[in-house]
Amino acid sequence: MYQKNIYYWQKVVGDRPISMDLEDIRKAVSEGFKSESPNYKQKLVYNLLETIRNNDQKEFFYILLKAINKPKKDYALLLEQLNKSYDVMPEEAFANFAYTVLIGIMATYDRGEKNE
Amino acid sequence: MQHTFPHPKINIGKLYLILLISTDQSVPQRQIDFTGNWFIDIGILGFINLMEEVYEWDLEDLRNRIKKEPEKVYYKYFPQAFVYYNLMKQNISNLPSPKDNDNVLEASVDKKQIFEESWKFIEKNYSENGRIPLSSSDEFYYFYNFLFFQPRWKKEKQKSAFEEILGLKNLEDDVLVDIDRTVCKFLPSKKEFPNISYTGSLITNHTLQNIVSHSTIFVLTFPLGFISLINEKDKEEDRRTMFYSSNMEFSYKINKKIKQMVERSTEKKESIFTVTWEAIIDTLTELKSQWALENMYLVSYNLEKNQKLINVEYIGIPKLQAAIIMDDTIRENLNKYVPYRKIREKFKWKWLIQEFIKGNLLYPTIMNHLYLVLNKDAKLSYSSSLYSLLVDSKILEFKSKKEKSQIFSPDYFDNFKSLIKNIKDEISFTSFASGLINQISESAETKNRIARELLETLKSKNKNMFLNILLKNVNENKELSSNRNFYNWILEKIISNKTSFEMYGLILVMNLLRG
Repeated sequence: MYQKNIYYWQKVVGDRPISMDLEDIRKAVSEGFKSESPNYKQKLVYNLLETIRNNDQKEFFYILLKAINKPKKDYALLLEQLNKSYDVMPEEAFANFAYTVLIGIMATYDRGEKNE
Repeated sequence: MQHTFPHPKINIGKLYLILLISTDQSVPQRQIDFTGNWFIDIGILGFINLMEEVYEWDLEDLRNRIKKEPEKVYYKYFPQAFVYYNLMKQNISNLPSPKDNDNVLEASVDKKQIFEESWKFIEKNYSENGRIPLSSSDEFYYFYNFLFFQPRWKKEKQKSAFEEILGLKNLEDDVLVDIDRTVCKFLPSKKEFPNISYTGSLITNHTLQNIVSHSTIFVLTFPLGFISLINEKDKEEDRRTMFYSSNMEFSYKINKKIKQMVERSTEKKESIFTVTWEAIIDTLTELKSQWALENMYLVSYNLEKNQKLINVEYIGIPKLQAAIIMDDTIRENLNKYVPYRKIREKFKWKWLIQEFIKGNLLYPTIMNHLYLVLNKDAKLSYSSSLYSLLVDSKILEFKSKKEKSQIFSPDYFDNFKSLIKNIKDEISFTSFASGLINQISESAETKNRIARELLETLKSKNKNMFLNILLKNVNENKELSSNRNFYNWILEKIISNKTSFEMYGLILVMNLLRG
């Protein structure tokens, strides 16, 4: 049923269209955050929401990178994805990318250590 | 071995064409059919209606009559029927019906003699103070004071006008020579024709008569092709409507059905559109003529005091929309009125199918409807709204894909079957996945608040804010956040959806309002 979730935009330099596979990003994020505590993730999502709202790409990546800057194997896939898609994006492409990251984090609330 | 002759049908076709061209115009055509020109065709339909009203012949009977004795139909039955019908509409009592005057004429009698006979009958039975009391009231108001309707015209003059119309005499009367506003209210008057200085002359009835014999008769019966929808309370709603397609039988059947339905439904205040659509569907199913879908129009107008046309509507039904509505489930769901506005305690309603056929998006109507629901002014029409929004979204998706390819895609010839299947799959998938949003809170008040906030962002088409508010609220509920069906649906239908995220957004709002 699900189509490939791909979002295109034109990069400023050069004319090769760059695409992001949103479904792959979602999976990589979920894989990375799967064992974090739900409450921690919930707070993280609130913080990230605020940055997307303001289209503050710098702050978004700052918070995100700080969160995954851990010597954990879980994040390997996500780092690889970020390495591929990190860029200064047009606002619309950024919003789609960022909300996909949030969906990926939120999708893991039913997993992770329960330390409430 | 296969025979190598050209296909026999082609030869017959050519022969037929030659016969048509060489037909002598003085011989009445032994067939009646639409010409492809809507003005003449509506006149032909009016002619059929008239004959049916007076002689109770249906289309089949009339066709047989024309085949057997065309002269009698045009020069005897028609004038008698026209006069009789006009007088009947004036509620004159004790009128002898021409139906009972069917004396047998000799086969060799010529058309002038036939008309003389018929006029004798008219004079004997209907004349009053030296004239036939024809009146331009009711549907004849279209021809107010036209030719023999003028109260000063005596019967001799009236007769001569009839002869002109029947083609027994040369067209001399000014009003009959040119085809302009006098005979067709949809046209400007002769003086107002914008291109007159370039063309020198307008199309005249002479020309038309050479193309379609008896065309002047059909000019006269034009208003009889319409169905009158007189609203006793509101005279301004005095509308005349007809359904037109290029197939005579199809148009005839549908208009007949509309007439019956209108008669039945005056009490129920049903809109002509409801009635018409029911008639179209019934007839389509009956005749199985799917192809007729491609050429359907609703023509309607009101006539003002000075015979000025107002509120003319000419609605073509696009093939895409027609094909979608042929689906029973979709049609039933769109076949509803929804309240979309409240002005001074009074609701305004929109007929979804009507909007749809006009090619409008249903999204704005549904959005307004949801505002009413939100303010507790109206009850939510859930199923109709869901169908409306998904039909919208699928058409948008379909069109955005098609932009790059050709117009006459395989879908076109397949009557958009795959699109319809798409819509129906989406209905079941989306109604389940979007319904999950209801778990967001147990309090109806909270859900209302979220719905209001989301609605505002959709109104300003702000996708970023929509997602921000949505995810912020969903984030409070860990169970819903990690529901796979739900987040996948959001990802696919809203985040990565470039063409129609608003429709899916509205579906979420709708589910929140569902309670």
